Amino acid sequence: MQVRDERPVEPKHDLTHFGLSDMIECGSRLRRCADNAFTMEEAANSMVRFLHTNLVDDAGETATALVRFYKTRPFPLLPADLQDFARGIGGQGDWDRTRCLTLLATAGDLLQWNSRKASRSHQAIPLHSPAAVEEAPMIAQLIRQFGLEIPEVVEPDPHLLLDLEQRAYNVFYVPEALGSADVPAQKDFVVPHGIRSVIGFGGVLVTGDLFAIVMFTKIHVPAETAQMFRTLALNAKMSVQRFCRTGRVFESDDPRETGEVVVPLPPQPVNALQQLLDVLESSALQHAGTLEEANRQLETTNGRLEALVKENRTLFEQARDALAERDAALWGAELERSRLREVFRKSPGCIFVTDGPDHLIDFANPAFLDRFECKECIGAPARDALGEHDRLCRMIDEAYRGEGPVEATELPFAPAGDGENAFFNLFLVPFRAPGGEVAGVLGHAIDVTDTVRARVELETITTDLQQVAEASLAMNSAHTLEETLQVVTEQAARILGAHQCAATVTVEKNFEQWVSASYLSDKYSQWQHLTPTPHGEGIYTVVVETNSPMRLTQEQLLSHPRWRGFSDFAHGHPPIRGWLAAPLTDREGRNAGVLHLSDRHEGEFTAKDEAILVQIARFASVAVENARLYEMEHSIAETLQRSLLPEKLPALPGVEMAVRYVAGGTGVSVGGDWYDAIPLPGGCIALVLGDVVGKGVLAASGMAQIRMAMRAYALEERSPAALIQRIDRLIQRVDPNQMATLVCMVVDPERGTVQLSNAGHPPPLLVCADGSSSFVEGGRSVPIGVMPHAPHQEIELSFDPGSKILLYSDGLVEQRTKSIDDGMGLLRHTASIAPDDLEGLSDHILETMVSKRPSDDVALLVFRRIKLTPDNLTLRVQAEPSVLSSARHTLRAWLEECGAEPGVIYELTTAFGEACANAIEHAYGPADGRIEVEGSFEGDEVRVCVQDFGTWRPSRPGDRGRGMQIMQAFCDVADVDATPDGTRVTLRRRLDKKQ
Amino acid sequence: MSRIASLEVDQRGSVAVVHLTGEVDISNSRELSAVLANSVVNEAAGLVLDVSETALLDSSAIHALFDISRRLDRRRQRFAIAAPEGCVIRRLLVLVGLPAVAPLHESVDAAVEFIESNTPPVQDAPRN
Repeated sequence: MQVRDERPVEPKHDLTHFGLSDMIECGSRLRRCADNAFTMEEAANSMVRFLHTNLVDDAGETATALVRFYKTRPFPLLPADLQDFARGIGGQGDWDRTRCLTLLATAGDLLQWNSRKASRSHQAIPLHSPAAVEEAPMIAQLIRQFGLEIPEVVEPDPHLLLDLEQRAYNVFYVPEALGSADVPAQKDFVVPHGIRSVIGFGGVLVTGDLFAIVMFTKIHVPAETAQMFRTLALNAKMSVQRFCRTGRVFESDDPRETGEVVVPLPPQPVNALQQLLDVLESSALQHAGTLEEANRQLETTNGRLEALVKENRTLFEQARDALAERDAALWGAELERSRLREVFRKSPGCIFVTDGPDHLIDFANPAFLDRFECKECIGAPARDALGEHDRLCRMIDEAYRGEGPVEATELPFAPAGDGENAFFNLFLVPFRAPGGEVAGVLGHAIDVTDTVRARVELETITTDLQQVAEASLAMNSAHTLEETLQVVTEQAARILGAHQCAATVTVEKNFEQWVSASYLSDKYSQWQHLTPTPHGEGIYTVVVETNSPMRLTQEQLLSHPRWRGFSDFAHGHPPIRGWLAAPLTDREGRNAGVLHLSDRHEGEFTAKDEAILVQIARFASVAVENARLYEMEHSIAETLQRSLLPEKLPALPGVEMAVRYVAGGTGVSVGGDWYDAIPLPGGCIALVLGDVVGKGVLAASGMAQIRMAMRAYALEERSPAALIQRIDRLIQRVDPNQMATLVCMVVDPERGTVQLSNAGHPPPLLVCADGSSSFVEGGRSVPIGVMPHAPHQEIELSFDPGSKILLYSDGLVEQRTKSIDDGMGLLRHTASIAPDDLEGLSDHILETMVSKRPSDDVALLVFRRIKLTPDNLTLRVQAEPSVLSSARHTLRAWLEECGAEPGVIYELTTAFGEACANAIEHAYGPADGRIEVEGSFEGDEVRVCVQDFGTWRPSRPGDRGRGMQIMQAFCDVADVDATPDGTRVTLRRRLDKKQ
Repeated sequence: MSRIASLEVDQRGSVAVVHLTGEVDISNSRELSAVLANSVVNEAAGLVLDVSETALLDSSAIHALFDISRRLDRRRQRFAIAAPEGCVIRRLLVLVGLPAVAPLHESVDAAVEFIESNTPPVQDAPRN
């Protein structure tokens, strides 16, 4: 039994005759390349292989020598091997901020052109700066032809991305590669491999990354063909876009590789769009088919006519001879007699013969007489018979005088009645008398009206296709439901050419929960402030109730029983000039709202408009559903993030702290900033502030991982560099895709030192008690998760009482209009003039530096070592056994300030420890148990009050009693009072003056 | 043992000697109990706790010391404390009455000697 290969052979596309249907088929094929891919690399591989294999020349050989898929990606996100490669290429710049142009996939004629890892110089090219890009002419030119500025690619501004992403998809085209300054490697590549043209197509993805597919062809590609790749760019973009949200780019990012549970990609609006495009495409294909068939027939017909003239040469010559003798009767008789006449008579084309300089019509076949409605024309001058067809007459004249054939295609003929224009292809051949001079003209006109209409329709559909695809991308780039609806209305109004458009989303047909958006052209600008509340009564509710589209003219609308007019909320609003509406639906097809348009720019809304609006509404529905999901995800991510930040900072003796956290972004773009303060045994504090790369739930859970690990390791490890080292190792093992920057400090309030390690994070700001300030640049290393066994450094700073250290996330210093340096400069200045208390300082910094709706998260942690003075002591500490030691240290330090003797210090401290332990036992239970300590020194008496806020519990026998015994023995007075808030222990002791 | 205190155990003949430095409060007194109990093997004559370098003990630590003394007593093992005159902890220990169950000695040597000289003869196996 023979085994047959059942795989369908994919059609090849001849690049030398690349037509609309090729474009559409290739586009659809490129879009499907991502269907079963888990990473962008897989999809890219599938694309380049398809293009290399299936684009052929007219002999069926591969038309491309090499096809490559390039993409920019931030250096820190690259797999280790590509980072090494990029470093090998070198260049000057901050690697953490550099994007690299990476080769994601390659396919070509030579074996070594089929693995990206075999590329000697293109695996990863660092784009350190615009100037560095200029040194690579092809990259620079490609960026420019894509309509981009080089800095936009090197360092995309996240705020301009949305705009950029929608604007930029295009074609890079070099018609003649040989000798072109834009194509490098002339000697090694262009010449030996016969590269004729270069076509690149691609664009900007939501991440700000540029992608481009570059084809080096062995045939010359004309400009019209190159232009068609614009549509393919859009298709390729839709294909790879879906990997942006998951960050799965390289094979090494494949979740299956790491044994991670594979989370299916979120529902993509692209799927619904694909269905829509499929419908449009199949109708476009049909039209393209009709057109191409018609063109083939046309060519055949013209060819047949020429052949006819050749074949019947004798007949023709006889006829011509007769004509030469000006014997019209003979000519007529000859024709009558000849086969030629039969052929002419039966021809569907209009055939006629004119005679002499006045173009007297000698002969016209029935098709001609019928089509040109000139039954009485035989013998009359063509100009009289065809009076209104002036161009035809002039062309007959031209053929006669020019003594050569004249051709015209798709010549419009105004119809006699009200009908639409008809189109003809004309073919006029002069014939000569025996003397050689031109005697008359044989004409052939073929009606190509259907073909022209098919093509116009096809072009319209192609335009619609493009517009719809653009609209969809725009809709799905919006993050919130409101933004999505806004884009939907703008796009629908633009595509269908209407002055007004509104979209309203309801829940379960309940108009109390609605979200709506509207678009009004300048014509209605004075009504733009109107935000009518949908009450569930107007005509739009008919659409909601029936869940089907509606199309009404102005008259139909005004007479509709459900039309309420504008009287109640918009006096003097002009009447609605026609109305077209389509329902929005949810996933199950139930109604979810309405999308409606009014006042078409020209004329009334047509059935075709209705069909398009229904389609727009269909994928607007998906975009709306997605926006809702994203909003939900956002709130989950935000809740998750909030819940992971410490509810309040631990109150620790010897230092005071303030924090601020402002959630940035919209949609799912919750950031991964976090901070933490971990009391360590022995009175030290670990302070951490970090930023997990990425957004959304994944970033928030990544941050949770790191934070928890940090808390665990901090119990065993007190060197911040070692802490970071362990976190780094852990993260690389459990979650290789994770990357984070962070600063970790271990503060010893007693010794006045700070151990600091900084993994790729902006440097902390140190503000000294005398007001001088500096950024702490030492102790820096690469971010966590980028490099196996990265060495993490640490430094030790001395930290005097009254000095402050500010930790912050890049969101604080990377606000929209500022460079990081400007942002850091501003922070330093702001911190130096801000109020001295930490809460005031934090507020002042946020007010000065952060906009109301920051695009990125902002985290700020400020802390200071308290300066102790004998006047008084105030401590607020967490009611936890772990703080006891540092509380005692603080008291001890204060007592030293007061001039107490070591023996007294020991006894008072012991008594104080008992009082605190007492308070901690009381405070057990309530979540935010804290202890307030106040100390004062008056005359020669020290007085220390320890107040807790817990509920009274009877003390354990023996133990507590012994505590009381100790307090009383070591103090002059030790009182325990129950207060309304909790329990207060007051200790008093006269200081024995030093001798 | 947590960072605010550290314990070193060494064996002097049949006596376990534990040197306690740092501070013991409710955050680590359980650990103190555990280390002390585990440092005395069944065959040992007793335990000497050296507090000459101890900075602070709170009531929960004192409680732990009473506790270990009870447990050692049940095992017929002796407990003594090395707390020389002038060490900060001594007054506290006297104050809470610890010497009644664990005599204070001027040095570790003195404490060890005290235990060794007061060790009761090994009991015969109980008859049945």
